[in-house]
Amino acid sequence: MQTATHTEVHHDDHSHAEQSFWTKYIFSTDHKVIGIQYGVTALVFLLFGFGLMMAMRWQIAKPDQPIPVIGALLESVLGNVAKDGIISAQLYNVFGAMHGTIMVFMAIVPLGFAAFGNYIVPLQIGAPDMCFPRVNMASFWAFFLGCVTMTVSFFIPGGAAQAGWTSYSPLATSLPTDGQTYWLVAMVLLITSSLLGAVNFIATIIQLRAPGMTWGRLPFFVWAQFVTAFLLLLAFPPLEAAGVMQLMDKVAGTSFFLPTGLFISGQPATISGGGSPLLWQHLFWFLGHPEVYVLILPAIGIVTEVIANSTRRPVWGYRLMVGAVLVLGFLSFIVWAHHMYLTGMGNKVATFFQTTTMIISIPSVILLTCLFMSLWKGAIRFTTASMFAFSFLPMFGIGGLTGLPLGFNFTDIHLHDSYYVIAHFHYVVAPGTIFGLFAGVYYWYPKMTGRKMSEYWGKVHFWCSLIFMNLIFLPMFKQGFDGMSRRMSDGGATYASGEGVLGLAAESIMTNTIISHAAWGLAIAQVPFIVNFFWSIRNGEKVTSDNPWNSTTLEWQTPTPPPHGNFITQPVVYRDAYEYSKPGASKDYLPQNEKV
Amino acid sequence: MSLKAFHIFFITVSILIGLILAGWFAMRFHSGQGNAYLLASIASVCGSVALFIYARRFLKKLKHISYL
Amino acid sequence: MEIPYNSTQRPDTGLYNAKVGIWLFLASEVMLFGALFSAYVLLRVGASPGTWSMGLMNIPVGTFNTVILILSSVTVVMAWASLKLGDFKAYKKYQIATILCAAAFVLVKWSYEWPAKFTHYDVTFKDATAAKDYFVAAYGDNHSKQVTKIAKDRYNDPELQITQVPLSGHIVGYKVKGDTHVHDVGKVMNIWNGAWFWRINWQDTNMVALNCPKDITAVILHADGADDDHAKPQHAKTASLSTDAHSGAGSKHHGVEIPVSRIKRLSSLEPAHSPFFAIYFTLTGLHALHVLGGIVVLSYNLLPIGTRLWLKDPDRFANRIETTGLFWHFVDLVWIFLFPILYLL
Repeated sequence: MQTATHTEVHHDDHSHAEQSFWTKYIFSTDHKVIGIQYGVTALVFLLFGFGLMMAMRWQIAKPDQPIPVIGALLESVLGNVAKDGIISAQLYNVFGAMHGTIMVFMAIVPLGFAAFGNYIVPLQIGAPDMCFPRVNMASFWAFFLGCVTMTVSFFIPGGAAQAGWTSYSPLATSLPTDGQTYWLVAMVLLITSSLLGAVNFIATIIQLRAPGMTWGRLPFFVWAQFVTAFLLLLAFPPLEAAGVMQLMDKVAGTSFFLPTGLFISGQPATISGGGSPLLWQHLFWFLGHPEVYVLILPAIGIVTEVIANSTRRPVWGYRLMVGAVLVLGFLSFIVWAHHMYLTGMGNKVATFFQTTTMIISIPSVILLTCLFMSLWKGAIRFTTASMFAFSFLPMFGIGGLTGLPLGFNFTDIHLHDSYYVIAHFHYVVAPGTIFGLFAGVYYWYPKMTGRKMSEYWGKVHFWCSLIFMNLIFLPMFKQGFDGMSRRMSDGGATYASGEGVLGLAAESIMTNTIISHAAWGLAIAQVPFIVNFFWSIRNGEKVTSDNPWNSTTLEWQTPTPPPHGNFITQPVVYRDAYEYSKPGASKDYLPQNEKV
Repeated sequence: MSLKAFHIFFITVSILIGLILAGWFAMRFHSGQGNAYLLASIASVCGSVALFIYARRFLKKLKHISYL
Repeated sequence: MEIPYNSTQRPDTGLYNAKVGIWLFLASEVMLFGALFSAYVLLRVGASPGTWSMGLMNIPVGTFNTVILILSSVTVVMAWASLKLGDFKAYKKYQIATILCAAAFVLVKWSYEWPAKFTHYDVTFKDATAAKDYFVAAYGDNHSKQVTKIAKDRYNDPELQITQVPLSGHIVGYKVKGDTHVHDVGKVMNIWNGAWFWRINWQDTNMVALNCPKDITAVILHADGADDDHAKPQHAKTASLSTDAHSGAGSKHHGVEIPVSRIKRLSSLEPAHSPFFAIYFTLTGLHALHVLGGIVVLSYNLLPIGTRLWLKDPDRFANRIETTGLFWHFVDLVWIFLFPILYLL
C-alpha cells in the first residue's frame, strides 16, 4: 500500500513477512490488536467489578446472613473476613472500594477510551496506525500490570484497599493493611498507561489525519476522544503526585496528609504531623472531576455515531456539539470542589464552585439536546445498537438533571454521601455510559469480526438491562432523600427507626431487598450478552459487505477486518462526516472518501 | 516550539534567576552575614552577563533554524 | 506500512510527530510538578508557627548544582545544533559533556546532600527542664543565645519556647540497657548505613530503627556549633558529663549524653521529620529520577544501537535528539524553580 507522503524513501523497519504468535497477538504494536486487548481485559474487569457489587447487595439486603454459593469459597480463600460465609464489615469495605476503583479505572475508561478509541480513531481519520505504535503497546502492558497488582491485592493479609475508591487520608493509610500500598502502586501504573495513551491519541489526531480530513470533517467520536485525551493528560498527574505522597505517608512515615494531634484507635499517632487531609481531597478531586467526563465523553461519541447512522440523518448541530465538548473539557478543570462542599469551605470559594458547576451543565445540555434533535425527521432503524444509543439519551438526562441538587451546596448538605449520590452517578455511568459502550459493541462487532451479533438476543439483553437498571437505581434517589448514607455494610439496619428513635424509615430499608433482587436480575440479563458475544464470533450472521450499516465514516471503507496498515490505498476525504440523506444523491449515504 | 525557541526561553529564565540570586546574596551580605556573600553576588551577576553574551552568539549561530 | 511525518514535517502543522508527542508529555509533567509545588504552598501556608523549618539547605552546593545543570542545557542544545549542521563528532562531544554534567548533579545529591540530611539529627525534649539541661550541656553559657539563634534562623520566630527549639547535631555514640560502655556509631552511621532510620516519636520512646538495638537507653549527640571547651556540664543538674565517643576514624568526639527517657522526638532530617523535608525529598527525588531517566536516553543515543539511525535516517535521528533536548530543558527548568523555592525562600 502507498502512504500519502512522497518524501520518505526508506523501507519498513519491521518485515511484513512472518510475525510470530507473540509479536502478532501478544506484544503487538497494531492499534486494532491493542484495542481488542484493552477491550477484552476491560470487559473481564467489568464483570468482576459487577460481581463484587452482587456480593455487596446480598449483605445490604440480608445483613449478616451467609452468602450462598460463593460464601464458602470466599471463606476458604480470604479467611476470617468471610467467616461462616458472611461478608464482614471489613470485607464489605474492601469490595466497595475495589468495586469503584475497578469499574472506573479498569473497566469503563479502558473500554470507552482505550479499547474503542484505539481501534476506531485511526480508522476514522484515515491513518495507518497510531502515531507511536510502540508507546501504544507499552501503554497496554502498563495497564495490564496495574490490573494484576490490583487483583493480587485482594489476597494479601489485611485485604485490599478499603477506604473507598476515593482513598481519603488519614483513614486510607491508618488501616492495618498493605492493601492501600498495592492500590497506590497499581494506580501509578494505570495512570502511566493513561498518560502514554493520551499523548498517542492527541498526536495521532493532530498529525495523521488523511488528506482532506479537516478538523470540521472529523466524526464526532474523534472529537470526543480528543477532548477525553486532554482531560486524561492534564488531570491525572496531580493524582499521581498525590498517590506518591500518600505512598510516602504509608511507607516512609511522612505526614503529607496527616494532621498534628492525630489519634488512631485511641493512641496518638507517631508522626510528625503538620499535614493536611484537605490536600489529598483537593488533589484527588482535581482529577476526580475531569475523570467523570472521561467516563462519559467516549460514550457520547459512540452514541452520536450510532444515532446518525440509525436515523439516516446528519447529526443536528455538529459544530455546536464540537464547541460544547471543547468548552466542557475546559470547564471540567474548575468545578472539582463541588465534591468538597462539606469540608468547611468559606462562602466565596463555595460560590465560585457552584457558579462554575452550574455553567458546566450548559454544554452538557447542548450535547444532549443536539442528539435529541438528531432524531427529528429521522428514518429510524431499531437495531440493538441503536436502541442502546437512543435509551442513553433519557438515562443520561436523568443522571445529569439529578446532579443539579448536588451542585448547590445548600441542597448538597442533605444529600452528600447519601444514596442519592450513588443513584445520580450510577445513572450517568451505568444506564448512561455502559449503554453507550454496549451500543458500540453491537455496532462495530461486524467490522472487527465479519459477523453480526444475534439481534434477537441483543434485544433481550437490551430490554432486560434497561428495566433492571432503572429498578436498581431509581429507588435509591428516595433512599437518599430519606437520609440513608452510602457505604453502610448492613444496609442501614443500625440506623433504623424504632421505639422512640428517629431514624431511617422501614420502607427505605425494605427497598434494599427490591434493589438487590433487581441487581441479580441485571446479572442474569448479561448472560445473553456474554454468550452472544462469544458465540457470534464463529456462528453469527456473516456480513455481505464491508459496510453493513451503510455508514459514511471511514472505518467502514476498509476490508473486514482491517489488515495491518488499515487501508488498501490511502483514503482522500471529500465530504463531511454525516452525509446521510443528502438531497439529490443516488443513495441515502455518501462515504467521506467518495468523490464529489 | 523547537529546541531553539525553548532554549532561548530557558536562557532568559536562567539570566533572571542569576540576577535574583545576586540580589539575594547582596541582601545577605548587607545584613552582615559575611564577605563570601559579596563575592557570590558579584559572581552571579557575571554569570548572568555571560549567559546574555552566550545567548546572542547562539542566536547568530543558529540563524537558519526555525523557531517552530 | 510506514507512519508518516516521523522525519519530515506535516505541512499544515509544521511539526513532526515526536515533537507533538514530547510537548504533550511535558504538559503533563507541568501538571505533575505543579501539583507538588501547590502541595508545598499549601503545607507551608498551613503550618503552625514554629513548625516549618528553614535554613537547613546548603546554598553553595545548590548553586553549584544549578550552574552544572544550566551548563548541561547549553551542551545539549549544542549537540543538537551540531547534528543540524551535519557534524556528528561534535554532537558526540557535546552529548558526553551533557551526560557528565547530569551525572555530577546526581552524584552531588546522592553522595553528599541527601546523606548529610540523613546523618543530621534534631532532638526536642519532653519538658523545659530537660531542654535547658541539655542546651546548657552542649553550649554552656551561650545556651540561651543559641536557642534564640536557632529559633530565628530556622523558624523566623525569636520568641519560640525552649521546648519548641530542636537541639541539632550528629549522633556519635549510644548506650544500651545494662551496660555503661559507650558504643561507637562511626561505622554504623556513615552515609547510607541505616543512620536515617533512627527515630523517636513523642510519647513513644521506642526507637524506630533498622540497625539500632532495641534496648537503647541514651544517645550521645555532638551538637552543631558546640564549643567543647565552653560546655559546662556541671551547670546542668541531671545531664551527664560530656562523654567521649569515637567516630569510625578513631578520633574522639565529644557529645552530650541524652537519656532516651527525656526525649520527646528524635529524628534525622529525613522525609518523616516534618512536612518540609517530606516535600523536599519528594520534589528533589522526583526531579532526580527525571535526571536519571534523561541520562539513560542521552546514553542510548550515543551507543551504536541508537546511532544506527543517524546512518539510516539522519533527519529522524536529529529529531530524536531535539526531542531529548526539549525534555532535558524542561527538567532543568523545573530545577530553576526548585532551587529558589526550596533553598532560598
